[in-house]
Amino acid sequence: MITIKCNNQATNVDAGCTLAVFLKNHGYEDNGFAVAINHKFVPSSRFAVTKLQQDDSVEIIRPMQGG
Amino acid sequence: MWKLAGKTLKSRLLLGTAQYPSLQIMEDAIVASGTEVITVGLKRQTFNQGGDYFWERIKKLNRYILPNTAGCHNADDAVTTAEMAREIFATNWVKLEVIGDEYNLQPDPFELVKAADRLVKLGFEVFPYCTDDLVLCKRLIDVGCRILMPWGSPIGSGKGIINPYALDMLRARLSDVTLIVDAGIGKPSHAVMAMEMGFDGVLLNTAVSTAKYPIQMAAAFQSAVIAGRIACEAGMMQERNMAHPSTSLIDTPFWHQEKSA
Repeated sequence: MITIKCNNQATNVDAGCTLAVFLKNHGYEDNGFAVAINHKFVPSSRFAVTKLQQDDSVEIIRPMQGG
Repeated sequence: MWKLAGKTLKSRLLLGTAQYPSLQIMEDAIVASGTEVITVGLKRQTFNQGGDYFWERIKKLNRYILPNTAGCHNADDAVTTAEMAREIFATNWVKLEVIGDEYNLQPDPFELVKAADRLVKLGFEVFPYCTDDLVLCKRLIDVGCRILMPWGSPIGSGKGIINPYALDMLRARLSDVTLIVDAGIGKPSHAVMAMEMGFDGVLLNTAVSTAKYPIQMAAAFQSAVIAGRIACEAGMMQERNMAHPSTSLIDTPFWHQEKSA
């Protein structure tokens, strides 16, 4: 198991877990969100080939009201 | 009609989607304003949080979306946020905000130019929220910005245009760039002023969303932007230091010509 942060909350995932699997396991199955890992944008085309590493900081964001 | 980033628009009013009493009032205000461009933000989606209800409602309004990079304090985060926005909203438009001070939400001019430079190279159409500093605006143009959005006054302050001389200078010196006053607009008269000065558009949010009756206020701003633009195109009279009677005084009753000294 490794520990990562997702939206600033610590969480444990299986070592070698891909971002695609992580997102699916946490209910992100539509396409209305975007992801950055360690402040770098990860396009959806790379979710299946991006493996999460220990201490990764994952940001998952959606649209919100804004000015 | 006018062109904004390659799109032909009727309305010169751009409107934000934040701080409305309800999503329904937000929708009705957007419709009442006649705007064709609305700004949106991005936020973290925590586990098991409700879905994208806001986004589903926004999509139905069929407006051009201008995502912002609100909350970013450096170029790296602004670029990453813009890339995420492009993926979600399928637009290369980005309202670039890189904030340098938490109190007055003033842009950090140095990080703003860095971020704009990188984003233009990545194919974005950058709408930088900037101050009214002429040299900063010229640097943004140098890195490829075709649109500038100088503040009227701090975001959400409602103070209107606190330095009209600086904005006048921008309009006079940057005649080939699209200029949109963004931030600080509080009343329709502020929007009229910006349009009379020759600005191409106005972007506002709080002035409508926190009005007592946002939908009516949105309609008021629609009229204000139209009135200001027509006035600008109609050619306003010059200010005079002395009175000039609008009614000719010659041969009015009891009139007599002043004797020469």
